[in-house]
Amino acid sequence: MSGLGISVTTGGESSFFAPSERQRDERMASKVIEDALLEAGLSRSKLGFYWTCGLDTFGSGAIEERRAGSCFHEIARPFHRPRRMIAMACASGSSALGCAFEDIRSGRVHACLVGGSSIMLSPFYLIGFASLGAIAVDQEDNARPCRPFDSSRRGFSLGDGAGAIVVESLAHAEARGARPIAEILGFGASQDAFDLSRPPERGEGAILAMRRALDSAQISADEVDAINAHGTATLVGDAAEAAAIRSVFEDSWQNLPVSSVKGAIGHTMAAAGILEAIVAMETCSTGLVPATFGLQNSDLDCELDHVIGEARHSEATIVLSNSFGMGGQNASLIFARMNRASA
Amino acid sequence: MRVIATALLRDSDLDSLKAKRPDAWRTVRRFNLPVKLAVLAALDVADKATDRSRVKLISITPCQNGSPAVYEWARRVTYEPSDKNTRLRVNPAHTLHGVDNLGLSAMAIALENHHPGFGLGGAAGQAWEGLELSLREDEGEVLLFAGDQESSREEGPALGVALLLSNSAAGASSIESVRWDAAEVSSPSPHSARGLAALIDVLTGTSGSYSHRVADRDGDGINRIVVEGVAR
Repeated sequence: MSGLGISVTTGGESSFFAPSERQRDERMASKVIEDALLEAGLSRSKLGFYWTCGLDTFGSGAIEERRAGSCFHEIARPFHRPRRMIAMACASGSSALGCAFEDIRSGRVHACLVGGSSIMLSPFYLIGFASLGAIAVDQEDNARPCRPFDSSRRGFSLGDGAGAIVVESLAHAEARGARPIAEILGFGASQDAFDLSRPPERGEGAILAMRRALDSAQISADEVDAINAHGTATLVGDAAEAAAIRSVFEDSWQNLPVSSVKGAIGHTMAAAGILEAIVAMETCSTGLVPATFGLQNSDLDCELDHVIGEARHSEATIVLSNSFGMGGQNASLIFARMNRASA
Repeated sequence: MRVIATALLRDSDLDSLKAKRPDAWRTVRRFNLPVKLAVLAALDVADKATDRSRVKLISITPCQNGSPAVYEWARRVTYEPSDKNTRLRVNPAHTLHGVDNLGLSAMAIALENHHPGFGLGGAAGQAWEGLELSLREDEGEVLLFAGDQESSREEGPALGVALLLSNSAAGASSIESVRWDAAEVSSPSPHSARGLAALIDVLTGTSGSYSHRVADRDGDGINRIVVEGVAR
């Protein structure tokens, strides 16, 4: 990956009603795409396009003002092929990256832009997810409403966000003299086939996705240095993910730092996998594993080597990032520092 | 890739499907109309699969969710936030209507399928991206399905379509490739099922090799599907 763009808003800064969700979505998407292309030094016409846009899949929200899918067309039109609009709930971002990775590894695509934007700070999503009991509300400590893996967790906070990553084959990057930021080693996916709104308690689907990612990367579980967890702070979801991590990393989990950024930036749904990939790549580059904001007392059901309080300095060069969609689509990506053997 | 089975359902088929397939109806009864039709069509062709638990599922999400309840709810919370009447009771089943992977999840559950699936959005042209993803599978079977309608305000008229494709089993036709011109289409219109429905019409009515012309509105620049037919 040779270019990155990121934009996040969270909490109450963003107005519900002005500018419109469509305008906010397009503004964030355009910003991160421009940033990534500028950093990578590539133009749209040379790149495939893999994009996740949660809101614009449906005609919801500012429903009378637009046709669903129109936002995708506006931003996709200048790009080359393929132009894929990925719709897999919270697993969309990671699945988009995984799809691009597989297309590049097989030689079908040489370079592409992968990203997503999500406008979640809207009454529609706030009320909708609250009705499912997934939103952290009515808590005494409003400074940390979202508490991934904490014994007092009650759900997530919503966040607007967008991110974009230029992904290309190493040969393509080297041929044009680009300096890659990180390497994608592997991708694994699975489906829970269990329930429309909750995962199985022992995280069997998540286990499959992580194992498939390790197989795809051709590395053993012991070689993973840190995990960026999906960690949404839902009661069942966090416990299931923790159980899955303990199962896959049975020999190393007690010394394998795990963190979730959702306590800090909220859940950006379709964009989450992209933003968290950027965090995971930063960990690969710097060795710094971010703390899980909001986590103070780890739940017994969520026992892992959590990073609490402040970021942890480590020798991490290989990081696994999880995204699990409501309804049971699971995606795990493995990133590595460039030239890690000589690091 | 061989076309093993196709299904095309319209909202006018729902009453007879409810009577004919009560199990399938129980699976979809809480869903919004386009997803109902997409899943019912997919269940129809899944019966022909060699191994339902290993079929690769590729769903295309509706552009218009076909849920009057969600439409009215979204309209009121967006435009009448201070209206006392906005205290609408939210039915969690209606929240599902706003989830873009609902059809994919429902099919995975119905088929007990843990194989990696894939979900595409409903923008124009995504049906052909889905077909292209299907064709790149080297082995096994793929179930590509979609449901959509024109209006976001009310139910129907809606379509559900599904194609079961296989690399190994014998089928009536094989789809050779998806090709497109570089020319841009000025006004593609989102309706994820419509383009596939037109292709299914051709697949079931034609034999031999032919080139299927994709309507501009369904293409996003992809304008031709080359189908290599097998004698019936």
